Amino acid sequence: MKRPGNNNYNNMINKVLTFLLVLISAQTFARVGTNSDYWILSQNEYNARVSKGKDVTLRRYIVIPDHDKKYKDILETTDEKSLLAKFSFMLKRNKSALIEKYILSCDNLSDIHHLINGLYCISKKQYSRTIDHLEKFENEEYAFLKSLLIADCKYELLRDKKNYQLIIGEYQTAMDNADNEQKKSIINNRIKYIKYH
Amino acid sequence: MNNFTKSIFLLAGLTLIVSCTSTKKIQKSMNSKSYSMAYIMDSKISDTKSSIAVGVDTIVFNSNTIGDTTSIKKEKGWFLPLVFVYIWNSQNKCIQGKSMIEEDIPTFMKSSLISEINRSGNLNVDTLNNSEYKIELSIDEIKTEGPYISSGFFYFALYVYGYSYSDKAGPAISNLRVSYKIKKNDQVVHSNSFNSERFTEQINKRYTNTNILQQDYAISMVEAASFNFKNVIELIVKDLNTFFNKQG
Repeated sequence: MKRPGNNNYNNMINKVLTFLLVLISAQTFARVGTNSDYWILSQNEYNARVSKGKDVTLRRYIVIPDHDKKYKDILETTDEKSLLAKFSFMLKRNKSALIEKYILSCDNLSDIHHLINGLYCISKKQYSRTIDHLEKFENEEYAFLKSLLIADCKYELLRDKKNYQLIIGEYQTAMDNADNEQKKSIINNRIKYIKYH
Repeated sequence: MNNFTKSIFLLAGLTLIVSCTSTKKIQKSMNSKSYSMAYIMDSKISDTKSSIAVGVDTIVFNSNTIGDTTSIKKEKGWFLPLVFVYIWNSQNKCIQGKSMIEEDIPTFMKSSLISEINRSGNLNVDTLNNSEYKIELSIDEIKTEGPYISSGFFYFALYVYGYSYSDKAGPAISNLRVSYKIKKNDQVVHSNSFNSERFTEQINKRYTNTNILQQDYAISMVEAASFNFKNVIELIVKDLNTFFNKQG
């Protein structure tokens, strides 16, 4: 015969486990794959954070124009914007199996794949490889994102992070590519982050 | 005095020694590292450049304007020894010195001004010393200072004791005043002076290690000084643009 207390105890354990699971999941969402040094967000999500008054200086955000939650059809997708939106969402949710499958099977000749591969390499903390991919990426629409990611990678490759003045010109290039106030504030927040870390 | 009372007083004394941050300790920590004033320019890039070139000639900088090292001056402090509770509070003023800043100040001013003229100026920088126009700058005031407060308490009652202490820093205020002259063939044809003031931002972080708080405070002070340089330099270049536009 079961004691009534046992059910309460099990319920409590379940609730605690669920809470912990939600807590752990919440931590992994928004990171770039397994790389917790950077967080990937869509432009709307970033704007929402700013308008809610949440601090955006304590983390380094990679802001992508859009996310697409319907990522499962990525292998059949050809539109460049949709590919980036789906892939960045997969990185955000760390859908590692599909990410690996896509990277192995994707058409690397397409221009957007240099950016996608760059983001993938950031998720693996392979910063030199990210730069290699991004330097091949020629698309004016993403000039800001490209220069920001290159600056971030060059910062990561510094032996002594205190010598960030050596790569500040890279962030200057990103600033010069910023065509709105939000992008300018992302650069200013990066510099603030770097100065305080 | 029995052993128990002795231990309590010993414990209280040790707590006070360990927790109350001395001015010398703060000063040592704030002088231990220097930080860069490097900043990102965000002014509008000039799309037209006239044929006028100016040489950035002299930067007058009286080194007494800013101390060699960062200093901490005790402003007021009190210690309240009640029977079972000890409370203390110490208010200090932190004054930025050159040691906190990585760059040589006049060299930084000159290179930053040249970069800004190249970016947003409608004129060029004369690097060959051929131009009839020269700019002479003077850093008249550079000052950054702000509060640093240490406070805490210790209590005990028979076998129970507890303590708490915290340090708070800032916001500091940073001021920069720069005057400049344009000389044409050694004759002053224009002069102006610009000020900039900036408060350091509150750092929204909880500190368990006071050394990190002191370092972050130092960084924020250098950041404020850097902002002032950026602001004043942009104002000088706008003024240069206006002056040379009038010259035709």
